[in-house]
Amino acid sequence: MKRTLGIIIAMAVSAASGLAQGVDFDWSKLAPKAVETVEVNLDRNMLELASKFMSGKSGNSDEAAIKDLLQNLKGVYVRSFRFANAGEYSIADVDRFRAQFNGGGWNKIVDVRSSKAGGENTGVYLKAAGDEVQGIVVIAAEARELTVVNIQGNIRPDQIQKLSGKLGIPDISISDEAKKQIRQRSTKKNDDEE
Amino acid sequence: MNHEIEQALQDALKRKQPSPDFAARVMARLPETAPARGTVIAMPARRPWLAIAIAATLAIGSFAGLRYQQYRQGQEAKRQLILALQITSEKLTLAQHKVVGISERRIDQ
Repeated sequence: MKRTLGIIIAMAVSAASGLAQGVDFDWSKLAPKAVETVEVNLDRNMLELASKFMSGKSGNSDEAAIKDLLQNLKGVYVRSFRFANAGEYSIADVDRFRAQFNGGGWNKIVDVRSSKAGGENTGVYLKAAGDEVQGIVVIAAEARELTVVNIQGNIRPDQIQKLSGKLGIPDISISDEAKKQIRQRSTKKNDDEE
Repeated sequence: MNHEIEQALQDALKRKQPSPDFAARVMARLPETAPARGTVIAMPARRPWLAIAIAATLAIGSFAGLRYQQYRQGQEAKRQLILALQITSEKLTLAQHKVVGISERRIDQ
């Protein structure tokens, strides 16, 4: 009886410490090591509540854009840990976490891995059913910082990009000049090869 | 004549000892339980507006408290949402810059 109860409690703790809806990881062991922790848990009800306090009027286009985005979201969950020193978390643990997104409808959009010790690893995964996006997971594992974002619902990365520069959200767009330079270099390289 | 009336009055008002079972009969007529005290708050009939004002104040106070709590929760949810979008945006920037950086290095090679 005690054992069964223990298993139930362990399952409940595991579910609570996960990042909701099938994305599990034991974050509780990282929090005590971190010097700064950010935890955001917004389910559908909380998103609806937040939406009520955002202006949908065209006069406040920043909030109107976010309010529009919220209509299709089911949940927003963030875990971010900043550590005083490098090596406070295991990259093997992060890889096990990433493994959840191999298959099961998840598509790997970006997967940058550094071979250097303490190098930065970044992954962007997108779950889609037909044309409809069901969720995005962003994993950013840096030397002294580990961040995981799980956004559930119909949202595309470019919609987040559209929010750049609004309400303190940093501008993530690459300048047209930078894009032009990349295109020029690419064309030049292809010409040289020919 | 007057003397007779006077004598009759004296007889009628003369002190008499009660019968031996008088006390028992009085006690038997008393109710068995004493009435409850302090269970009813009686409002003066002349001030019904006072009762209405107190009830209205309590109702408005409760409503305002509830709305304020919802406002606080809504503002906190909004703050958390913007924080989440800021972090997401930052990390997507990181991913984008890495991809662009790798592309640039490959082109340069």
